[in-house]
Amino acid sequence: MASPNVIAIGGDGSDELSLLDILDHVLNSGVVIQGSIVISLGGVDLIYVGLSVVLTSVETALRTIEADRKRSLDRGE
Amino acid sequence: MTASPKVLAYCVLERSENSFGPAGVDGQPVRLLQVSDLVALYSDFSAARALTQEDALRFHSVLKGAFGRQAIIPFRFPTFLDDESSLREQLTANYPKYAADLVRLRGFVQMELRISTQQKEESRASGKEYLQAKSRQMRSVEESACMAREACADLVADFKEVATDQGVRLYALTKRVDAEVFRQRIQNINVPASLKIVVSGPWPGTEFLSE
Repeated sequence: MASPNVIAIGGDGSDELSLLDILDHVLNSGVVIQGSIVISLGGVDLIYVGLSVVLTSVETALRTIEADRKRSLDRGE
Repeated sequence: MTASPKVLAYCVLERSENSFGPAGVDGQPVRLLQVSDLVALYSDFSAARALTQEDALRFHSVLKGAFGRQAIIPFRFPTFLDDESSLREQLTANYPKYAADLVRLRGFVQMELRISTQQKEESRASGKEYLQAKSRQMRSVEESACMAREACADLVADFKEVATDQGVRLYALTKRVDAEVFRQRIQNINVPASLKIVVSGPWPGTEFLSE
């Protein structure tokens, strides 16, 4: 009998892969070719850089930069 | 500074008589670029526009169509190159690696298990208690990963385990014909109530590509 704590997705004759699983795979699995590009997916800008891929939202990156800038100002640099 | 890409690469696979779907991302036809006995699937992407979730799903559909019949090495979405000759250069430069991987993965698929703890973190009286509880959870996750490995040992050519914040991800390279049996055996594992296992696949064997 199947365990209630085991969830199976995908498989023969089904197309039940979740959107999350699909996006996780297309964005995080596979061969990477050197490149540098800014893209937008689902209305969120993503940064995609270099051989070792950095994939983060532009919003997060900008927040980090802004926080660093404020810290520098606070220190009087 | 949105770039103006020209070619969107989908995947590399061994040359075959199979045909590959009517349309790729942006409704563009999926084209084949052949280098020796390998082909890369790609389509033009001339629009200087933002990509959407629909593009990612269309990309997945092209991969799914190709992977449904044979092993593939997918490119990560989105992989853009300037033009077809750039893609040819990439394919030629990496030919030995791609060819060897595709031979090794022939007839195989990747199944995935996400084993995670379901228990909500309770407040602990001390850091020691917290660490002890965490340790118990991780031991339980590890034991379930071992059970999964043992249950499918005869079906699996290779395993790979990666720790995550919530538990582990276990990747199994199994023959395509055994994927359903693999899934059934995992579903019959006796999992503690505190854990959850999500089994998915078949996927292309991306975790088993050479470096």
